[in-house]
Amino acid sequence: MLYLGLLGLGVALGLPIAVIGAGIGQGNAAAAALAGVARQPEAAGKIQTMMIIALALIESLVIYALLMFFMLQGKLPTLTFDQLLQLK
Amino acid sequence: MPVQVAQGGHDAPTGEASGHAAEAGHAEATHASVGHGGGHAGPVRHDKLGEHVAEWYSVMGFLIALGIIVFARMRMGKLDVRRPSRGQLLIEQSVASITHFSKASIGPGGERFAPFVGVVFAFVLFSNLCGVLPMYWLPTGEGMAPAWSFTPAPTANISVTFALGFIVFILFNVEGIRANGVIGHLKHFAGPMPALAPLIFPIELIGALVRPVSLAMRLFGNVFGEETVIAVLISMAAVLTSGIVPFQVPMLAFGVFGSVVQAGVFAILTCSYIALSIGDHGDHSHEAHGEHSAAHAH
Repeated sequence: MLYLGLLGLGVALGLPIAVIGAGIGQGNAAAAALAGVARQPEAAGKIQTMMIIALALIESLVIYALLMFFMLQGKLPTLTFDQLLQLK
Repeated sequence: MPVQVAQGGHDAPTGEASGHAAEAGHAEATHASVGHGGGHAGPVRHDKLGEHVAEWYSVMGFLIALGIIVFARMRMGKLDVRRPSRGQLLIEQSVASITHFSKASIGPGGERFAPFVGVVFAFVLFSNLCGVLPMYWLPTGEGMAPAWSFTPAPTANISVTFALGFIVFILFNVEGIRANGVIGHLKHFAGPMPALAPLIFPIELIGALVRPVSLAMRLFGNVFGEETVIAVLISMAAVLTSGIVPFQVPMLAFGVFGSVVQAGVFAILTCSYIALSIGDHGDHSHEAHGEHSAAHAH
C-alpha cells in the first residue's frame, strides 16, 4: 500500500516539478528575446530563430520527464473498487 | 532505455478495466514497440490508445521515404526557369536556406552536408505530420472507445528515432575522424588544457554519447506525446459527446506547429554536431555568421 501510494505520488508529481523548472527557463529565454527585439527591431528574425531553438531544447528536458511518466504509469495497477478496499 | 514489462493492459477485456487498459497501453509503447506488438495470437488488438504493431511504423517510414523520392523525381522534369510555379519556388527556397545554413555553420566545406541535412529535415517533417492526420475511433461496446489511426507517425516509435540519431552519430564521428584523424578527433574530447584532460575527457565522452540519445528522445517524446494527447482527446469526445464536438482540433493545430519545430530542431542540431566535430577552432566566428545567414535566408 505504501509502495502504491508513493508510486502514485511519483507519477503525479514528477512531471509538474519538471515543468516548473522548464517554465522558469523558457520565461527567461523569451524575456531575453523580447528585450533583444525591443532594443534592435531589425534583428528580429535572427533573434526569433534562436529563441525557438532555445525553447525547443529546454522543452526537451520536460519531454524526458514525460517519458518517465508514461513508463511509471504503466506500473500502476488496475483495481476494482472492492480490491481498492482490500488494500492495507 | 530500460526495458521492463508493464503489468496490466493486455488481457483485460472487462468494462471498467478497458479504460485502464487503454491508458496502460501507452506505457507499452515507450519500451516495447519493437517486438511486443507482433506477438499477438490472432487479429490485431485495438485496445491500446493509438498504438500499432511495430512493423507498421517501419512500413510508414518506408512509404514516406519512397514518397519523397518519387515526388522529387516526378517534379524534377517539370522545372521551369522562366515561370516557376509556387511549389517550385518553395522547394528552391528551402534548398537554398538549408545549403546556406550548412555552409554558414560548418564552414567552407559545408555544402556537402546540405543534402543530408535536407533529407533528415524532410523525412522528419513529413513523418511528424503523419501524426496529425485523421484518426478513427473504434467502438468497443463498453468503456472508453480507443482512437486508432491508419497512418501513425513513424517517428512516434522510439526505434525509428533511435535509428535517425544513430545515423547522425555515425556521421559526425566519421566526419570528425576524416577531418582531424583519429587522434585529433579524440583530442577534441580532452578539453582546452591538457592538464585537465583526465577530468574533462569522461564528461566530453558522455556528452558525445548522449547526443544521439537526446536527439532520439526529444523527437520521440514530442511526436508520441502529441499523438497520444490527440488520441485521448478523441476518445474523450467520443465518450462525452459521441463524437460530435471535436475536442482535438486545438491539439491538431499545435501538432502541426510542433512537428515543424521538432523537424527544424533535429536538422539544426545535426548541422551543429557536424560543425562541432569537424572543427573547434573557427567555430565561434562561424556561429555568428550562421545566425546572420539564417536570418537572411528566411
